Formats: sequence, structure tokens, C-alpha cells
Amino acid sequence: MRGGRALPLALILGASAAGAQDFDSAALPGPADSPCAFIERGLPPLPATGVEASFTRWWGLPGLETRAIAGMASLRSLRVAAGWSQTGEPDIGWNAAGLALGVTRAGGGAGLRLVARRDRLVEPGTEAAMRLEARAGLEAGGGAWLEPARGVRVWAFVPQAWAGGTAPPLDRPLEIGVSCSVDRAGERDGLLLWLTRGSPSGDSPADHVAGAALRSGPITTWGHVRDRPLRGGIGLAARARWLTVGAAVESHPDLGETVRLSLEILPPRPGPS
Amino acid sequence: MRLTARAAILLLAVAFSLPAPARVRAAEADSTSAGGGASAAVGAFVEPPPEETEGADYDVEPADSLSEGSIELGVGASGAVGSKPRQSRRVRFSDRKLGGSVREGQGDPLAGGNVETETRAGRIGVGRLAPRWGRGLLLGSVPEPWAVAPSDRGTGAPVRGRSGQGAWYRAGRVGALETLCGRFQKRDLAGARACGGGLGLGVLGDRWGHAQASLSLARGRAEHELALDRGGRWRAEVAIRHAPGPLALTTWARGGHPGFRSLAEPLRSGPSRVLGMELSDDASWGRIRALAALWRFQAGRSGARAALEVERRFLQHGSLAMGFEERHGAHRESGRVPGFRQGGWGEWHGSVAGMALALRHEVLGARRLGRAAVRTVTAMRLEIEGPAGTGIGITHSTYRVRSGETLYLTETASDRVVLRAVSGTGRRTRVEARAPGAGGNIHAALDVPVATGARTGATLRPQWTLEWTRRARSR
Repeated sequence: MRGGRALPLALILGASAAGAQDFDSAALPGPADSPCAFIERGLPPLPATGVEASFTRWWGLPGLETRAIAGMASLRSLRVAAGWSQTGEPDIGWNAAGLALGVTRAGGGAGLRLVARRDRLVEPGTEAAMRLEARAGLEAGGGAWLEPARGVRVWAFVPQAWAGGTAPPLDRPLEIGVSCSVDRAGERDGLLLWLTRGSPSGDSPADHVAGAALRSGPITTWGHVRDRPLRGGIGLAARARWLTVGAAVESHPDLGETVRLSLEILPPRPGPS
Repeated sequence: MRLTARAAILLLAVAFSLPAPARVRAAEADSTSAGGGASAAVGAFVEPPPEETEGADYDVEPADSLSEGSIELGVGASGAVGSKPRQSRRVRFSDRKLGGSVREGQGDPLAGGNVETETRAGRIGVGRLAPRWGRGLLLGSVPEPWAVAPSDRGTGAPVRGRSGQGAWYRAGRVGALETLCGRFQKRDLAGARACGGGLGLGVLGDRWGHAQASLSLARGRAEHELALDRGGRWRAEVAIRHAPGPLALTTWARGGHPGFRSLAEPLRSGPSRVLGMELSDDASWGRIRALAALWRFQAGRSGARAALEVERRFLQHGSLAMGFEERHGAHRESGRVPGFRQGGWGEWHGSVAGMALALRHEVLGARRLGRAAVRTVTAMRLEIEGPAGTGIGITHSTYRVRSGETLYLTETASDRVVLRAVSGTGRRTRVEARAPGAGGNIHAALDVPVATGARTGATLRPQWTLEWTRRARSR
């Protein structure tokens, strides 16, 4: 765990698979049009230029907040995103830098992600001060998605195929998912349904999520339910020209509520995302 | 069994409710080239044959053919991080009358070779032996009690088996007379078999006077075999295949003495009584396969298995397959009795230009509907084609296997298929890269296993392989 100081954080976060950590965002699952989500999942989006800032308050704990900023750019089919995040208070928190590289094809994409973390406060004379691997960690993974039929997307990502140094605060195994979009071509209204399955982490059970999103013009609302323990969340995103604002709340029967806020500047593109 | 029937009906309903594609054959051809490897990488409820050590890795060699007048060279190295690399070399060649392969490498379970040539009097060969006589009661038996034919024995098998080492001679184009001598399971054996008009008579014996005989008849849709040893113990088997069009029904039955053991492959002797049925339909919309088998090794040691597999091919380069199975009792002649097992699996693969993705999830439980899971696996495989013949493949598996059980993950290398034995809770990532180079093809792979559960995050020693192969015309 993160040097011992971050152990309480890791235990709280690890108590329930939250699915994301340093670059969490109020975004829909799968390959979302979000730089933070690209870094977090390794799933390259089709539109690939923009900047995003996100804020997450975990389980209603005032000292346990993640702030992140990320940007992404594209060159033909190549996608790249980079970001920086800060979690927790100075004495128990950590900073993280993330990089994602990907390639998209017509109807699919694949990407790699790298996230490096370092404790924010390193006391002189401690083991963490003397050994880099005691105060910093690196994780590498990736993901891929495919659109086998119009409106249907299937994805899989492994955020931590390899990890070195201090262990990441969350163990994030393979997640697979499928979404189905029910909308008419050229119209901006539609319904999106999705299912995801997160593989078991350690001795904990697998994590299943079912959700639905309703898109009406520039407004997207969504809700999802998650099992073991049964819980759910809702979200709302609104878009005005280049600016997208998103908010999501997820409840937990024991740990409280997690709130996610995001602000994105993305060039508008025709059709539903 | 009522639940089994319900699940079967549900699977059939799901499969048949999907619309039938118009261009499925073309889509199948495309998807096979892009996603076939992915499908092979994630595998079914696979297990090595009974003569192999349980819980150990198992390497097999695909029986891909080499075109006439070709030669293939391969040089490789493999190892684990922190240990000394091991080198390997192999050569395969095929000419009009001469063909063979030789492979060497320290610790390589596939080391060895075979050479065969055609003479005026017939065909002669030396090296690895994996023959099959008749239904396989003496030579070339099935590895599992529910299988109707082995995949690693006899000519035309998709996998090169290795039941023994020695020499063989076959007279006549259709093998009117076949003789062999070699070492099988630490026993020197010699045998001969004469065939004509579908009738075959074979004798197999060793230097200590043990002998067995086989009488087989293959006529029309039916195959029969009767095998006897000098002690009067016998086995008899009949298989009938009825295949009107794409629909095929195979039924088979075996009976005999529980003490009968094949001299060549005693660990593959299998049950003394078997009753089985396999139905397959390779239709335009996809494929369906159903299997049911009952068997008994000896008093108090019997088993049964029922399985259903439905594969739906899609118009846009992909397929979805689902399977269900239920097992009872023991499927090995010795060792522990697993007892009741029920589970299912689902596999999807799709592809777009230059990219293929496959996902698979399977669960096998000790209670109905996969509850009290003894093994759970989720796997993905991604293949990306790059420019100039380059490519990358990534396979990731997460698994949870109950204590005392072993799971075999299928890994496909350039020259072999490895059933990697894993247990406990963990993950495994395999990254493969291929590129043309030095006049041939370079294939590199890195396996990163991670144990989780009690040893959360512990990265085991990564393993790597590097291989160069070249295929050329010899004339």
C-alpha cells in the first residue's frame, strides 16, 4: 500500500470496486469523449481534441478528494491524452501523472495507459525518502473497443496489466462491457443501455453494473445499479457549444455518497456521441 | 436433469431468435482469419490428456501442413526473467517423397522429430509415433470418455500427438499392410495390421509375450472394433455416423472387460462401457453441437456429461457462442472424483479492418447453474495488424480456481499451443508481437502472471520467448 499513510484511503477505496481512481470523471462507461476517461480506461474516443477538469469526492469524506486535469489531441487515427491529478490531503495524499496512447479505426479502437504516482509528502529519513519504489508507483494497462453493429459497442480494458513500485490504491482487474444505443440516424435524441462486468479483485466478488442513459438534445441523464452490495447512481451532463458540464452521484449503503463533477471543453461534432 | 433441459431450451431460444444473415459465409471467412486466433486463445473447458501430469503445462504441436517442396527453419530462445535463456531450433521440410521435422531444445517437451519417405514398396517413417487403428482400442484411443474421436492420433488429426517413438512401414496407398515398432509408455512394442475392404486385423505385442489383437470393420456409416488380449479380456466398440447434409448425428457404444488395458497407451484405455451421442448442425446461421455421454470404468467409478454449444455468426465479421455443460462422477480412471459440475461459457468475437477483439467468460460450479464456482475465468484477446506485416496480440485472463482444481489457459505460439496450468486466484497477460525480419518472421511474446487473493499484486516471474522462422522453397 501507499507507504502506510495512505493505507486508510486504500482500504476505504478498496472496500468496494469503484472502477476508477486518479482520473475519474462524470462520463458514461466505455469509450467516452473524455480525456480523463481515456487515461482511466485506455479506450480511445473517436473525437480526440479537448481539455477536461474533474473533481471527485469519495464516499462523502471531505479529506478524500481527487482533482484532475487532462487534455487530449489526435493526429489522423492516433490519439494521445495526458493528465495530472491530486488525491487526498497533503500529509496522506498522492499525485499522479497519466498518459494514454491509442489508435482508432472505423468502428473500433485500442489504447495503452500509463499512470505514475508519488506520495505528496515524503518525510526525510524515512524509507520512502530513501527508496523511490517506496514512495512512487507505476501502472500500465490498456483497453480496446469495437462496434460490431450500428449502435452496439463492446469493450474490454485492463487498467493494471502491470504494476510496479508502491501498489496502486485500488486493484482494478479486467472489465468488459457492452452498450446499445437506440436512436435514429441524424437525431440527437436517444437511449443508451449498458452492462459491465468487473472481474473479481482478490477475494471480493465480481462487480456487475447495468445502466441506462437518455439523451435529449444537449442534455444527457443516466442512472445505473451496481451489485454486491446493491447500490446505484445518477448522472447529468449538459452541453453548450464547446462546453460540457457533468455531474454524477453514486451511493453506497455503508460508505456514503461519491460525487463526481467534470468540466470539458470539446469541439462540437455532428450526431450523437 | 430438468434444469439441464430448461437451460438447453433457453440457449436454443436465444440462438434461434437472432435473425439469419444473408452473407454469413463471406463474413465467416473474414472473421475466421481475424478472430480465429482469438477464439483459439481463450479456449473451452480444455484439459490435457490423461497420460500427462495433472497440474503441469502441456505443449502440443498443431499439425499444419507444409506445401510440397518447402522448408521451414526456426530458431528461438525462451526463459523467465532472472533465469538463463534456453535455445531451441527446428526444421521442417517436405518434398515429393521425403518429409519430416526435427526439433531440439533443452527442456522442450516437443523435442524430437520424425522423417518419412516413400519407396517403391510403400511409405516408411521413423521418429514420433501417434497411430490409430480402427476405433483406437489398441492404438489411438480418445483422451476423454465423452469424445468420439481423438484430436491427436492418426493421420489427419489436427494436433500432432506423441504416443511413442519408433519406426513404421505402410505398404500400399491405402495402407493395406502397416507395421510398426517402437517404445510406448516405457514399453517396447511391435505390431502389424492388415487392411482390405474396410476390414482390418492387427496384432501388437512386446518382448515379454504380452500380446493384443484387434479386428476392425469400417463400412458405410459404421465403424466397429473388437480388441482382445491373451488373458481373454476384451473391448468392443461401434460408432455410427449419420450425416444428411449439414446435420450430423454420431452415436457410439463400447463394452468389455474393466481390466482390459491397451499395451501401448494404458492410461488412455478409457472406460469399459460407454454410450454416447453427438449431434452437430453446421447451418448457414451458425453452428449447434450437442453431446451426451455415459460411461463406467469399473464398479463404483462412472460418470456422465451433457453439453450444448451454440454459435451464431453475424453479418459483420463476428460471432457469439454460448455453451452449457453438466458433468457427474469421474472422467479419469484413477485419482479424485470431481463429482457434480455444472457451468457455462460465452464467447464473442468481432473484427473491423485491421483489428479483432474477443471476449470470453466461463464459470464451472459444484452446484446448479455454476453456483459454488470451482473455476471462473474472464478473458480478452486483442489483435491489431500493423503496417508491413507487423502485428500485436494481447491476451489477458483473470481467473479464480478453487483449491485442488487446476485451470488450463490456452496460449498459442508460432509453433505450438500451450495449455498453461494455473491455480488459485490471479491474472495473466500475454503480449505478442510479430514482424518480418532477417528474411523471415520474428515472433516475440511476454507473459506476465500476477497472483492475487492472499498474495495480492504479487507479480510472478515474467516469461518470454523470441523466435525467428523462415519458410522457403527447396526447389
